[in-house]
Amino acid sequence: MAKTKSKKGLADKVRSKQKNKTKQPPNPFEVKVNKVKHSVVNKHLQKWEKGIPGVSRSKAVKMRKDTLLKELHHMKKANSLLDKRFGENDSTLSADDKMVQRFALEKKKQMKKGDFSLNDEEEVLTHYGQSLVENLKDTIGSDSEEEEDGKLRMGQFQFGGFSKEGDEVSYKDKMKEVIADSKKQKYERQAEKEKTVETTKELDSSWKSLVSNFKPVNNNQTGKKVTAFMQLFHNLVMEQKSAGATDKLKTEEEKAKEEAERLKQLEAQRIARMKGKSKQTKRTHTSADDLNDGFALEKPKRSVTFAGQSESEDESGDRVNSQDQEALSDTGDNNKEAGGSGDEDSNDDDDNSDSDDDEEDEDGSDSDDSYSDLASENESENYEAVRAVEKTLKSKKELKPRPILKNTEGIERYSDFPFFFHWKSAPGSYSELKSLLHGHAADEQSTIILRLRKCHHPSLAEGNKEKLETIQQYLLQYFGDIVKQKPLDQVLVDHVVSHLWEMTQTCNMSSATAIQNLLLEHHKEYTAQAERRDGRGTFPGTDTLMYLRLVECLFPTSDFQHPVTTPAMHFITQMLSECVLRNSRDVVAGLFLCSLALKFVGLSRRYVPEVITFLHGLLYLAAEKNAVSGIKVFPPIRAGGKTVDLCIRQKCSQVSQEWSLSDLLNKEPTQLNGDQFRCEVINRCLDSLLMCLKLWEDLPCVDLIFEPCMKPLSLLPKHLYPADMQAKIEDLSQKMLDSKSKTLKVMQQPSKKPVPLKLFEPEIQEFWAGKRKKGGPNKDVNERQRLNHKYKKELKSAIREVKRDNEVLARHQLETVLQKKRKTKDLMNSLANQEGDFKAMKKIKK
Amino acid sequence: MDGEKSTVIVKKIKKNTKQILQDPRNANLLLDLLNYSQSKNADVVCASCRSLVAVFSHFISADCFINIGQHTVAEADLSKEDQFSSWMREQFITACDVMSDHLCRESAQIQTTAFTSLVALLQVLDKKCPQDLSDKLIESIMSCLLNDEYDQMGLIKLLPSMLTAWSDKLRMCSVCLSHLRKKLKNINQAAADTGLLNCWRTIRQLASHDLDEKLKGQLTGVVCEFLKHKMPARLYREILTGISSVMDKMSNPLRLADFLSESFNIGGAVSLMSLHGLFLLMHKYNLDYPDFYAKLYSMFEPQVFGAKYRARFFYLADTFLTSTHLPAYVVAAFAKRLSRLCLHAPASGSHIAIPFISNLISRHPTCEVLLHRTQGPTELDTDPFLADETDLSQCRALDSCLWELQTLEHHYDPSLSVKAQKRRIAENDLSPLLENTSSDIIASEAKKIKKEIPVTFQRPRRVDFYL
Repeated sequence: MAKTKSKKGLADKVRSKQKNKTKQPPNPFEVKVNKVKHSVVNKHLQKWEKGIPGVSRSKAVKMRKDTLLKELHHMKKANSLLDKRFGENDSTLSADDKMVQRFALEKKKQMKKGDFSLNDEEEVLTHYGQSLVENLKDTIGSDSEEEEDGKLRMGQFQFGGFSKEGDEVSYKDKMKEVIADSKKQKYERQAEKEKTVETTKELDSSWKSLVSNFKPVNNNQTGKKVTAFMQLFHNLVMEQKSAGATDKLKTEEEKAKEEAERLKQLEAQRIARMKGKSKQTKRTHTSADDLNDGFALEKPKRSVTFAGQSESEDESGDRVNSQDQEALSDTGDNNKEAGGSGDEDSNDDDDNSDSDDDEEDEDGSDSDDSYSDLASENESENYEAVRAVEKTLKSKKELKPRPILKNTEGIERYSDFPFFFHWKSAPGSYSELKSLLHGHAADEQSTIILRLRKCHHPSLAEGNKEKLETIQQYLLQYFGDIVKQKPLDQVLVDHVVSHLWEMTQTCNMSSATAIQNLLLEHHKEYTAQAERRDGRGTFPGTDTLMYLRLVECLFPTSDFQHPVTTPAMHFITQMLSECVLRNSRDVVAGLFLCSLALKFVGLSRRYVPEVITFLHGLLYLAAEKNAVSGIKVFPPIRAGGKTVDLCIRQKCSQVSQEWSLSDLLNKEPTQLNGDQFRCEVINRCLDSLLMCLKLWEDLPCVDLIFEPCMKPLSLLPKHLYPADMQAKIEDLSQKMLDSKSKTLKVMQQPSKKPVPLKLFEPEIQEFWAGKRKKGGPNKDVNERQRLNHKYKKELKSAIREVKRDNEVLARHQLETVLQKKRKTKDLMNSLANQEGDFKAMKKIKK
Repeated sequence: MDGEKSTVIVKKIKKNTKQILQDPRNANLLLDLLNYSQSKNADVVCASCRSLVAVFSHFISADCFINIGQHTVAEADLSKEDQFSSWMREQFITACDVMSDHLCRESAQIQTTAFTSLVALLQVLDKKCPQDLSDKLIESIMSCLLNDEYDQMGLIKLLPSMLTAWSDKLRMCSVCLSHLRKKLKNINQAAADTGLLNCWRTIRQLASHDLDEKLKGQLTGVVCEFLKHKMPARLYREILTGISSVMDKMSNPLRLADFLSESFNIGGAVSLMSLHGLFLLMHKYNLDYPDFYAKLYSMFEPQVFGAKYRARFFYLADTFLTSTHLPAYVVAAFAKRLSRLCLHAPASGSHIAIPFISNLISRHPTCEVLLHRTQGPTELDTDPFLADETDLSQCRALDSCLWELQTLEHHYDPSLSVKAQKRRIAENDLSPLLENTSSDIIASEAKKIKKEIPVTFQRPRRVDFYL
């Protein structure tokens, strides 16, 4: 209540004050008017000009009598009587009101039921001594039989209708009914009781059977004699754990939905990074084992292992986790028994099945995925077996010992290389890793790497993380080596890259530094070469190009700024803008770098000038010689010198669709000199230009960007190219012309919003105390003055009050003294009278 | 064995020197010393040179053979002492010849030792004032320095020590300059590349000293004489880089104007390098060069970003355009042209060019219309700027806007993109940026490694290497 009161606005208070001021006008005889020296017209009457001193004085006196004298009266008394009757102290209530309210309260008290009141029936309304409720009930019950009991109804509508006969019958019936009812209820209660007893017995028996099942297990485990109670206790604990809320297996839709959600979130993060506006919100660490379902990291429950766990392991991370467990158990076995190896094998099979799982998911999106060639035949068999087991498990949903999968083929196949790498036996140098992998097929190498990774999982031992990092470095080096091999082993490269990708997911920091160092090393090599050649670079070896391609696979290229991709991009463009084309190999490398650069900016659609200048250079080299003289060229290509000639002289009929860098670089330079090769180069060049146009069509200067390319494009010997290339050239020049027609918006800085003046809220003081001093020197002094003034005023008024109080007290004291004197005088008088009378009587007697 | 032998000989030389110095009667040992000084072993030669210097300076200070040159009489009439001094003089001249020959030897050690010993002798001769001897000595030294066959860079660097050998430095300089002039007049035009190179370096060394008015006039004559010759390209570039230091010491630097304006007209790197000289002439010596800014404008080509002298060019261009009294259309044209170039420039070039442009605009507030245009239509069909126009006043740069900067906001390089986005910034010093190369950019980008590094979340399906 207090709160609501205080919440009331100031205005309300003022209004209520005005409302209360409806006092009657003072008696004119009591009014005293002070004389004013200079009267001013239209001026409000000041407080001191007019007053009713008599009235106010008497008011004050009365007040003192009510308070001060009361206090004086009670001064030396310990007890006091309190009148708690309703409204006794409230002067606003009239006597009638008081009575009414007191009655109401009384009633309320009577109505209120006590906590222990036995008579909990409500007050029953009666008519003729019968309860009205029962009569009404009958009426409602007979609603359906209107026709038959019309009479009865009639009677009942009139509260029994004062008819004697109907009354008698109903009473008897009712009594019978009541008896029957009570009997029925009794029977029902009995039946219920029996039923509960029965179900309890049933439960007890089933429970006992369960207990007997668990008994031997428990005895084996402890190896001691356990009391029945303890056993039961343990069993109960177990029971609760296993029967508690376990995660139910997710359905396919749920999984798909979760995955989609995760991808959506990651994509949103990527876009934020691309725009370069991410606020660097601290990302919570998500381990690779995270399912991304918002579930906190927990130690895996060792006690209960489902063989069908792989069912829920859709994400690669979790797969690693479960395999860790298995690897752990393998360490226990120490890999000596045949059973252990069988276990290992099944583990391996799990992996394969998982990878196949992924593949299956992806199959929907693109059918020409060549990933399936990595899974060999017998692996797919294993996969089938696992699937079958999973299905049975799904249908039964029971705890079952883990089925050991046996596939003799698999064992034979992989028995010639180690299943387990002791954590101390991590490859100490690159050559060790190489020798480990040497001589194996691509799939086998992948398996070895996988096991190497599993056995050095950071959760297994201290220092494993560092080892994993070194393994990763060696693997990166290995990647550089295998891409240099003459016939490129595509499958092996895919395997290694996917391993590298997984490792990057786990330890992004170390992999980023490793790749960065590799890139810097290659860049250093490049710059050293360039310096030797007087600032003119040469296109680097295959491995550098491939490493740049690897960067594109492992790190997001669309980021605004990234410690790996940004330097990589700079490296690419530096080569494009500095390297001189010396032979056809350089042309191929340059084209590869161009396409790589476009891949880098494919999502972010950022502008790369070096690509345009390089492609322009290629077009320039391909244009007809006699007409080319007027064209401006960009460095490093020079107007005069032409070491590479891309102009074709004979008609080419067709161009191939796919052009692999490794194939081309492995060919002899002489093979790459014909018109066919030149034609293909120009084809790629046109493709890249079309791509550029598409990427950068929104830029304001797109026409200026492509302007230099127009002229060499028009000078190409079109008639010698195949038909589809001619169409491409037409398309390209048309698009370039179209880009010219774009209108340009005049540049304007965003206008600044005018800063609004600072506004102040008016300060309203509820109780203004003290006079306002205007124009004081500063706030502090003002405040001090105000307080001083207020203090003086208060002091004076307090003194005055005290004086008045004293006056009242003194008067009261005087009065009491006088009263006392008067009383004694009276007494003395009466005594004297008595004495006089007595003496007179005495005289008379005498 | 050879080394052993040389040490023995060196010891012997030292012993001989001591003997000669102790007693003039052992003077015949001088012949041995002279023989040794012609040997092929570097150590021996150096030791003998040093001891020869010691011996001769001893005798010169003893006035043994100084004043003989005045009266040539028959040998028979001479007293024994005179005979000795004339013999001594002969030996001195032969020793000088031997050492000047050494100046043209391959070994740097022998060269420098010979040079220092000759300079030491000169120093001793200065006190005694034997004009003919010292003149001969200087002549032989200069002819060695300015010869046509060898590149005498090492020795020319030592030239200041010779110039300070005499107490009267200016006289020495004037002697050198007159020798230079003589040499330049007689120079063989056909095979004189090395000779010219030596001449130019000598001139630079001489010009690095304080010269009085007379010498300045002499130097001007020499430089003008020198510039008349036909230079090879390498020397030409070297001259252009060093000419500003020589210019200060010339009595009338404006005589260089023809040379500089000609080289400015050649185009390419040469004109780029002549910029500074021309600018100095205009700035300090009131050269009136009407088309300077037009020429400079024409030098803004895509090639400047690839050129070796990129940093120098941008530094100079920045200084040329520092003046706030330049008309707005000139500055706008430069800004516009440079931003056009940026569209096709490598990242390292744009890193210089974009701050350059913003510097231009911050210096010339009238050019802010390029970034913020309030009057006229809000949309244009084409860019009004005429890129191919060579006349700055006709290229309509002030009617245009820097849309190129808007394009570069989408540059792949993050720092460049940020630079292009900043529109209103205060003038910045370009010098730390000028030497930035792509390698530096890569290194600085690679340093920005943070705790969390984003990685791709999509498993690479198939790593293709298609173009």
